[in-house]
Amino acid sequence: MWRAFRRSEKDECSKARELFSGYLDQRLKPEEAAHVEEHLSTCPGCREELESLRATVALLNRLPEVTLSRSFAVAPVRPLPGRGALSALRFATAGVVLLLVLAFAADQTNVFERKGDTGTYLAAGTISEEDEAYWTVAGVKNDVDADSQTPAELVVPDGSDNVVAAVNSLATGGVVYGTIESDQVVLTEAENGTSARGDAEAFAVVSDSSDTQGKFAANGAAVPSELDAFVKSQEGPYLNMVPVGSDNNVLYSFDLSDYERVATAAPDNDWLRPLEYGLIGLVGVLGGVTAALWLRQRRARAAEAGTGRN
Amino acid sequence: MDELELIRASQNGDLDSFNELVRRYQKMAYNLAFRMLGDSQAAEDATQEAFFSAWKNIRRFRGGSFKAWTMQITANACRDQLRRLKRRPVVALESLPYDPPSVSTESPEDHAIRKETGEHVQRGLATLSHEQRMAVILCDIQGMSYEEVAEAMGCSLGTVKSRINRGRSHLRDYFVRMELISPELRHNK
Repeated sequence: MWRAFRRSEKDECSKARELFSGYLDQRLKPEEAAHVEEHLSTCPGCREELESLRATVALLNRLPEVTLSRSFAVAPVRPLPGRGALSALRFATAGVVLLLVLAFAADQTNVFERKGDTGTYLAAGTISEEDEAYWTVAGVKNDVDADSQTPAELVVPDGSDNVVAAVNSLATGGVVYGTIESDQVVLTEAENGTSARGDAEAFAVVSDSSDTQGKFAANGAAVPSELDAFVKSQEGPYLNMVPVGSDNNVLYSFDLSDYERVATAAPDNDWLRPLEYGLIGLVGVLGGVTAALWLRQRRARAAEAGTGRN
Repeated sequence: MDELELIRASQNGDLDSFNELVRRYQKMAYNLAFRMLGDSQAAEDATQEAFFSAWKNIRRFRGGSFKAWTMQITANACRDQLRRLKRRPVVALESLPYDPPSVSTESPEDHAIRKETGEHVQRGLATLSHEQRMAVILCDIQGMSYEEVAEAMGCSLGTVKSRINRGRSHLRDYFVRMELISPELRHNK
């Protein structure tokens, strides 16, 4: 118990000593000052502590000032050559960076894509020469007597709300989806699910409906929502295949090497990529010149400051 | 000319007005730098850098204590000097030898200064951490209020009080060891 008492006594002293500077400088609240005084009245150790602190402060207060041997007035700094140029360069660099950002944005959002004729193909702005997004593919329906098979055609729709262009993965507004594997397009029936977009008719085929071209037929019941999400998550544009008939459980495969790629609307933003590269180069040059000029001015200013004694 | 007018004129590009402000504050700034760095050449460099920086940034002064603003800039210049001189900015009491490193590079001028009472005080200050040292210099040597010290150091009032209290306490211990303060005032541990 005695030890506990002594420990709490020490705590009281520690708490009081934390307030000593404030007490000396008369910066304590009245209740804090009263607490300190009450403690001092019963603790000789702390009284001595306070007095030694007071003596320390008095010693510091009495310290003579160090005499100056020189003036620190600032000398006028000549306007440095190229100061105006530096401002102009900074603006120019900022402007080019802004243009670059806009060019990238336009590129990514395919702002400059152009739609083809109605009923034909939607251009995909980011597609390269080899991956043209719109093609007709003669498909062969498996499990069907070869003689009676009807060439099915994958058609890239015309850009109405439910459909988009395609390259690397095929997706469906109906119930089949697939991927391109080497030269084959393989389509697999998906599971039925609840419709994400309404009636099958809403997915009406929007391509050319001449007799020589069949429509791709699939079960047009519904688009499972997870499939819808999957489709939308694919990189690049994708074919939305529109169900027309009601063939169930059919696997379709397509030999891509036999078909003809039809490009009726070229991507309209081939000019965008060279522009971006050009702007990057310009930013590099301008940025480099700006930095060099800024460094030169900074060194010159430091030299001026060093010699600015009077 | 009154200080506010000088400040306004400076902010409008009048260098003469600014240099009048320099004349009014340079002794305080140099003393802060000298007490912080313990070396007159380093203190001169820091002070010159501080006033040059103040001139460049005079438009950023938005009112309040110009003294505190100037001391803040000087404090920053001192920190830069410490880095440049590769001195440790934070000095723990138990690891610092009592002779600060600047002794071996003293000029005759520095030696003359050290003959004053300030000699032991300077040594004592060198035993403090950078932040405690600055707080004690600004408060007890420069005579600034707690609020001005907080502004100059860019910290809260609570932090200032703590740094002043601890700095004084460490200094007191040093002064007692060096017998600058009477031994019967040594506090009981």
